[in-house]
Amino acid sequence: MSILASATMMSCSEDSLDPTLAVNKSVETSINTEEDLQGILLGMYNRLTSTQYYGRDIIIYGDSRSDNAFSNGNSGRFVTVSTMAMTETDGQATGTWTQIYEVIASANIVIGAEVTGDETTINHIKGQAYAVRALAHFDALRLYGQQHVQSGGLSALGVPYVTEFKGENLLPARNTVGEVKALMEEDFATALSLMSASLNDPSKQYITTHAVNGLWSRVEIYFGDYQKALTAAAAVVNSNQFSIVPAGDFVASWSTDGAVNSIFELAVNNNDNLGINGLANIYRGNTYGDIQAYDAFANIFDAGDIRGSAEMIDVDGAGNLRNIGKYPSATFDDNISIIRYEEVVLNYAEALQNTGGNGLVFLNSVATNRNALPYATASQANIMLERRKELAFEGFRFDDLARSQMDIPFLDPNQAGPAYGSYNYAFPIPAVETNANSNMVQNFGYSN
Amino acid sequence: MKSKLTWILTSFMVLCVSFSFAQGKTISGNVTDQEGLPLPGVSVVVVGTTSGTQTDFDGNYTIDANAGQVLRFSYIGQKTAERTVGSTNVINLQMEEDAQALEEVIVLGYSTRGKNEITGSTVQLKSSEINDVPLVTVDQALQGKVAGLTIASSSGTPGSTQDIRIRGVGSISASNDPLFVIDGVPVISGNFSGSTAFSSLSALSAINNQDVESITVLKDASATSAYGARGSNGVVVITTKKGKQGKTSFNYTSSYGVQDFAVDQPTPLTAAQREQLYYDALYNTFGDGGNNFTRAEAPAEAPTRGGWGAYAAWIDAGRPEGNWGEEVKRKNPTIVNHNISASGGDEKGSFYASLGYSKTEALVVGSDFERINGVFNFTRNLSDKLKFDTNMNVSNTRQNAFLEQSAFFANPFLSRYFMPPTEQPYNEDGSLNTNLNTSLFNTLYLAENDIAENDLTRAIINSSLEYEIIDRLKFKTRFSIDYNLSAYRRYENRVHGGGLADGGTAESSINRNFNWVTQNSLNYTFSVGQHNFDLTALQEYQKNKTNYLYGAGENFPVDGLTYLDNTSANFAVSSNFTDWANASYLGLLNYNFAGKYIFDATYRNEGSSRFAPGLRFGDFWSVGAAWNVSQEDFMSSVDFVSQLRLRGSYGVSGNSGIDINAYQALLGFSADYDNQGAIFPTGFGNSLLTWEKNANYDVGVDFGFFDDVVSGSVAYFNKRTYDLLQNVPLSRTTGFSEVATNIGEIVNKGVEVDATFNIIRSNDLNWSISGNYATLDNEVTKLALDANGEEITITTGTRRIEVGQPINAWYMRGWAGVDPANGDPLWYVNGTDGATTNDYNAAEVAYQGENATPQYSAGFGTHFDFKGFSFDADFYTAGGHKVYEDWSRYTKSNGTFSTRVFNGTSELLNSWTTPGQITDYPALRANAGDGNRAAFTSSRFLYEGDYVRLRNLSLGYSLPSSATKALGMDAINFSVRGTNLLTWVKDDRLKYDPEVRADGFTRLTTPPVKSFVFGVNLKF
Repeated sequence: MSILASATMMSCSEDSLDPTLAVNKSVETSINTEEDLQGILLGMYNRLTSTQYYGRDIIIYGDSRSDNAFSNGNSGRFVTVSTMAMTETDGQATGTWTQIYEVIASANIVIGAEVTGDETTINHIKGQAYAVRALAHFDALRLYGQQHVQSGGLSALGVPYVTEFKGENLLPARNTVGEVKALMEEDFATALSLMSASLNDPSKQYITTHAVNGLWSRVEIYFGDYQKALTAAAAVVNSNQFSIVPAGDFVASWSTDGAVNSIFELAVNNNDNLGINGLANIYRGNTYGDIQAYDAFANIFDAGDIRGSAEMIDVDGAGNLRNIGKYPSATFDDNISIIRYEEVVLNYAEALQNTGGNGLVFLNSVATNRNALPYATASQANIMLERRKELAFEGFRFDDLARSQMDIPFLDPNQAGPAYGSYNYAFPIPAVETNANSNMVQNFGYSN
Repeated sequence: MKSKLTWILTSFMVLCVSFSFAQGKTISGNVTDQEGLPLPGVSVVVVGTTSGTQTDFDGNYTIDANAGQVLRFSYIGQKTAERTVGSTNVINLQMEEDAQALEEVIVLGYSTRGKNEITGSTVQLKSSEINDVPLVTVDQALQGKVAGLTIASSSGTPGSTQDIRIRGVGSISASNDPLFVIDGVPVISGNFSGSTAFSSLSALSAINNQDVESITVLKDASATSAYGARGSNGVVVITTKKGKQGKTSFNYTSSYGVQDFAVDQPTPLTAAQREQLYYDALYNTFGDGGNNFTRAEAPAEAPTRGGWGAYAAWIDAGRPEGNWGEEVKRKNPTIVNHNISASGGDEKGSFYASLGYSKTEALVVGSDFERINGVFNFTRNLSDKLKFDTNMNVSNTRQNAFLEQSAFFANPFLSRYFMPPTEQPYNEDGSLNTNLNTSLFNTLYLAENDIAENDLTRAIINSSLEYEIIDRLKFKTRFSIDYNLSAYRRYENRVHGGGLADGGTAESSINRNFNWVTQNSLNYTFSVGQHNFDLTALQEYQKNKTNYLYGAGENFPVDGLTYLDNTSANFAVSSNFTDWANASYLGLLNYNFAGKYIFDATYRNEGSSRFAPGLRFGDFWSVGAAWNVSQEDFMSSVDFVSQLRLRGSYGVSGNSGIDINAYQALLGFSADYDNQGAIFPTGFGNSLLTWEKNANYDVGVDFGFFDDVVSGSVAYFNKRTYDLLQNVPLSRTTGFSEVATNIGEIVNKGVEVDATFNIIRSNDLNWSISGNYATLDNEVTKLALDANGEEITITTGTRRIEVGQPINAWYMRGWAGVDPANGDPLWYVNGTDGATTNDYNAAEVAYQGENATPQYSAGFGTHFDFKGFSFDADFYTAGGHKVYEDWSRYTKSNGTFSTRVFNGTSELLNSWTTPGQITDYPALRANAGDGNRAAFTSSRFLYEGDYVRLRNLSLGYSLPSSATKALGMDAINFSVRGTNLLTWVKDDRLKYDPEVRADGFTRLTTPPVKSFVFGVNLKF
């Protein structure tokens, strides 16, 4: 009895109430070294791979809101996206918004951290964070920004550009589209200034100086700022580090990690993958398989074009046209391409064409490497067509339609889409955001 | 002072008297109970002396006394009797049961009090109200019995956790579940299922109803503040059966029953109906009023449109009906219970031992629940001053769970409502069909070939030593161990279902939860004249630690192997450790003057590891007072009042029911990228995080008239929860969704009434009616403000928390019906009335009235007995709340979900087809966009929740004692009991069971069941 009592008395101090931290560490005291910083950077990359972001959703957003593909509702997924019928509480709009800003938060921890170690290495790590911060804001902007709604443009509402982790202002207001563009350019420039080409990781699973330039060219193309796009794309093209995958290797390149055309891809492997919640299962899985290509999509390819072959697109057992070739592995472990050389080449062609140069050679270098007929001119329409063929199912088509100020042709096989400028060219700002942040303004056409 | 002197004088005199009359004679005798059975342990004292003894095992006693002295016989539960010693040396006595005394001891957890000594609101259920309830978890016995307590099962799957709410919902982010106390010690009461996607398994399912002596529900501050930081949601105190002194008696009970859905549930469309509706949809969408094709031509048009494949195959097969709704239901699921217990004791101690077995099949194929448990409760007087008791309960519960907590393809209830009826469960040869024209799985196949098993072994050992230091000053030390070993095993076959893509999957987890509590207390009772004091000081420390180990693998080489050993790819393992602790100091004072005026006070200082250093300890207290008016002299002439007391209490209790480590800003290390460990922030952190508090006042009156022919109580309570532990939403741009803070305030108030009317009371015939009724008014009175001073509401797609509204008030677009001209769905532009629109986004979101918490709830019943027959009926009702039909977006879609991709429910047969038609179901559409939108969240699927349910109907018969004696038995009982036999629902659109979880959403889980159970009870 006395033993019980004294044991008890002893354990009743404040100390006896300290919980054990077995699998976590405190933020305040745990980021001290270059190694810690690298760990946070990996956390940032890991967040990019989530289903709500590059693991699946943002790629599907680009194609299911276009004339490439639609959601057949097989598992009830992406129906509101595909039919552009979102509301302010839409799970997709909420999930991706949240995920993008989590990536930004991780990037900001890296950028703001003061750690000990080799300065060049630390700068290379921080440079990657700057680049990803720009990419994430760009992704938020193209989904939620008002640049293509009503009159839109650079003065329209963009998204908040967040540059601090747990900073002073926890209720940021929306920057304008133009402000976001300028801040992204600043971040890309900072990334290049901090990073060293000699430290570029050869696996292509990390941001390199080439990836920074490639992504920068993508952003400028989106805004039609062709001079800047030209500079960025030229840096990649002239680096001679990458080549267009020839037609014979094209199909295999999709199941090859770090292929010759890859500039930046997200690491996925057999122990770390999204399984049924990834891209393969939504494009053709027997459980989900919601994203189906329009029958007419098969008709855009020349005879012999490898991209229109049955290895890339084919009809499944139920007679539905499917993306077969991209993200092909039944084991769900393909790396996810974020930027590849062919896109940069097409960016370069478009930039050249729009800055008084001639992009035809570059345009045709893609087409001919797919066994397609070469184009006679590098007209904007031809560049757009080639982008559609080359980048199908990779999340580009909606943005290409939007930046070309085109209407959305279809919502599903039975419905025409909205005209350019319609409210649903932007996702709604999620209600969880407008409710928590009184500085946040909802997008046109949606309610709070 | 005067009375104290009297006491000393008396004692002195007694001494003198004892000396004077030391020479006497020896009296002996036998004491029996009202049934004539010997009663051991009866205290026999010579009044006015220190001389006394107890009856032995056979009820016999001997004592020395003188003629003219008085012997007093007393025993718990029996009326105290006195006999004057006369000329005879033998005094035999048959004692009379004191029914009132039995009921009047209220178990409060740390203490027990006479009913008249209590100042707060408590309700105690007797064993007879608990033991025979044919439901698996013991807390299910509470429904309808306690005013102000609402309970809803998380699922009708046996063993599932219950949502219990006492006096409403006071917390936004912290737990709203009450604290459970078993035999004086706080215990774990949560979910021990290995996966939250599967059926839940309540820790309380480890307790057998048959072993429970009483359950007390503590509602107000004077009762709950003793539990300090964890008392604010109310406390449920469970007391297990203890041995009774006397010859060892055995009790065997056995029951057998069958079950069905308590209400019919929605009816899925048949394939033939669905086909015709699809033609309607095609015609409505593409027929262009008959310009393109007529309704009659729609069947010919259909094959030219996309998505016809499954219909074509079905038509080719001869239009067979796949009746999934019936197929996934188990045919006549049974309930089986066996329990045997033994109880006995002598003057030195007593014991209660029991062994129980229970098996309940779920209403869905492949799921069941089985429990075996043993109890050994033992008390022993080690010496005159030292008492030892121990309570042991060890059980193993095994539940075959299934994926029921959401719309999983493997959920049989998903099959019931979603599976296209054009798909067949069986092949023509009778084997299960795994070649379906849909992404949904054949859940019948999965029920036979997959495994999801929760296996919980729970051991509670609770021991105490009590030492009487001096007269009436007792020291008690208690140590309790509660160990929950929960094993979970999952296997998905490689032929069909979720395991197909991976060649079969397996996972296993072990959750070891070890909880220990130590209490040391001093209790002193004394009286100064008519001033009676009862003081307790108690110190308690509780520690809980959880070790978790998980493994998973994929790809089995052959069928028939189901363990991880045989997997060959994608291995995953994880393990982690968490702990929490509470340390408390408690003081209890109970005072009464002559039993008329009661005052009590409670103070508890408690620290919890869940909060920031420096803010861990909180102070909780209460004061209460009661006036037993009926005991006043001036009431003695008021004959019709048998009982009248006024009571009131006020106090502060707390709530610490939040996730561990919420106060810390932490980094997580559980992610990886490129095969390297990755680090990410896991919580915003709040270094100021501390208790949620709850100020609660309660006033009431207890009454009994005409010798308690009519009795009952009325109480009013007001419970203000403040410094809410609230996860305040953050702008997602911070990288976080929310931060735990102490801000906000919610008030719950209401009136609780209970009453009993004993219409007939006699030896052979009794008839009574009783009931309880409670109202609840809930309002959010304060919330967090953002940096701009604007209130941060918490809004989801269906609900909002905002000042001035009830918590989680329904908040969505207002449904305005169907446009008779064209069949379009309409919503109110302003959200509630007036102008309408067919554009969902043009309609505003607005409050649609009420929340999910019933504003009134009541239980009422009647008891009738005549000779050996008894009859009971108990009703339960709740209402004034609203229920949202979840998943209606699919099952009531007027687009492709219901007629082409999945299935719909039979209400869709009322869909609009003709201009001018008045209906609430819009025109069906064959495209995804417009069609599915009509079933987007709106008040269209928000129903009034009021219902009345015949909770219990039972008929019992006890053989007369002449017959049982002849059979060598003490008692034989038969009973037939029906549970949830009838249900009335106010809103006829609500086809799901109206008893939904506390959040107010219908679910695709097993609905509540109705059952018929036959039971027999033998005592010998």
